[in-house]
Amino acid sequence: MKVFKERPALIIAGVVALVFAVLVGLLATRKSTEGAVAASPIVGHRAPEIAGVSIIDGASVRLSDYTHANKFVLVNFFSTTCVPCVQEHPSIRAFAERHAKAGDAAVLAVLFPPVNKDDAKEFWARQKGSWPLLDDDKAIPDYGVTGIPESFLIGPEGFIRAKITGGIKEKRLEALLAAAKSATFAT
Amino acid sequence: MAKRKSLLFVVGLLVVLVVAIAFGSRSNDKALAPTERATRLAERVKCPTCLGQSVAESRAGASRAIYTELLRRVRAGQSDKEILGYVESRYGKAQLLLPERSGIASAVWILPVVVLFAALFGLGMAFRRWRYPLAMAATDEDRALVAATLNRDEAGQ
Repeated sequence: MKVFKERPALIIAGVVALVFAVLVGLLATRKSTEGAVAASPIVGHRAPEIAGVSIIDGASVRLSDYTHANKFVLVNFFSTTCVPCVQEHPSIRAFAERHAKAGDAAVLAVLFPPVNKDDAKEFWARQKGSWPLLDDDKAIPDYGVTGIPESFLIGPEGFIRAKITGGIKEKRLEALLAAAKSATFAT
Repeated sequence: MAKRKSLLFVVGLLVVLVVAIAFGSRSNDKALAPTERATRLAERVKCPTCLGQSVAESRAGASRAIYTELLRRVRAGQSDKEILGYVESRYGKAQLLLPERSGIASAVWILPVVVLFAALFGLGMAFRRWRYPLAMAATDEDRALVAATLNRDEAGQ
């Protein structure tokens, strides 16, 4: 008490510095939410249909075509104006290419509004996107999308297995797919 | 007899008030144009990508997509309950800008009614007091005290 009366400014500055240091420590050591599996009321429910014509090559695409072919599907909500979406693109490309060869999983991208088809086409050509890209407004509320990038892993039985928020790395995607494959899922 | 008449008058007024409130707050959404109804519903849904805005207020892409889906469902003839149920099934209860009707949040619905009835009761009590003067009369002692005070004042002048 006597010290506080003599040097109040120094004590207050010390307390503020201590609180600041604790906050910095907490923020620096907490787990990143990037690529995190997020809770959502639709996880565990039947995946809403996504259908349309791919912006890239005009091919008709339906989500159910993939699941009927007994494939897992990664539905990725994407925009060319979103930095984490652009950053995660190489990981998704590697995942798509590997599983296209294996024939066990596929990727389906949905453009997040505002949609600029020309920008998306140019980005796909430059970044060598090999999977369909749809403009399906209905999919945004149907999947309860709250931001981008957001991805959903759909099982071959047509049910949503996981929701992933933020940009995702290839390793994490593979781990999620492996976990989904090994899990027993009762519909 | 007069007391009974006034009581009937107050009860009649309360009945008129309750009926007027019920009639005024009655949902007339079926009569609205689809875009108006969709906008009303959009006012009850949070924008998922912005802070403190409803889907109706926001120009964000996700909000526009939700609004389009609300409008599509209105045009398909779904009820408000069905449409808001759809939003809740996709985004969760937190996406709706209406307090829950159960648990602690139900106080938001109950408290205004409780306060209204307490205020009406208080007003009734006040009117009653103002109407019937207090049954108090000055005693001889009071009169003597006033007279003594007046005499003292006059003497002072």
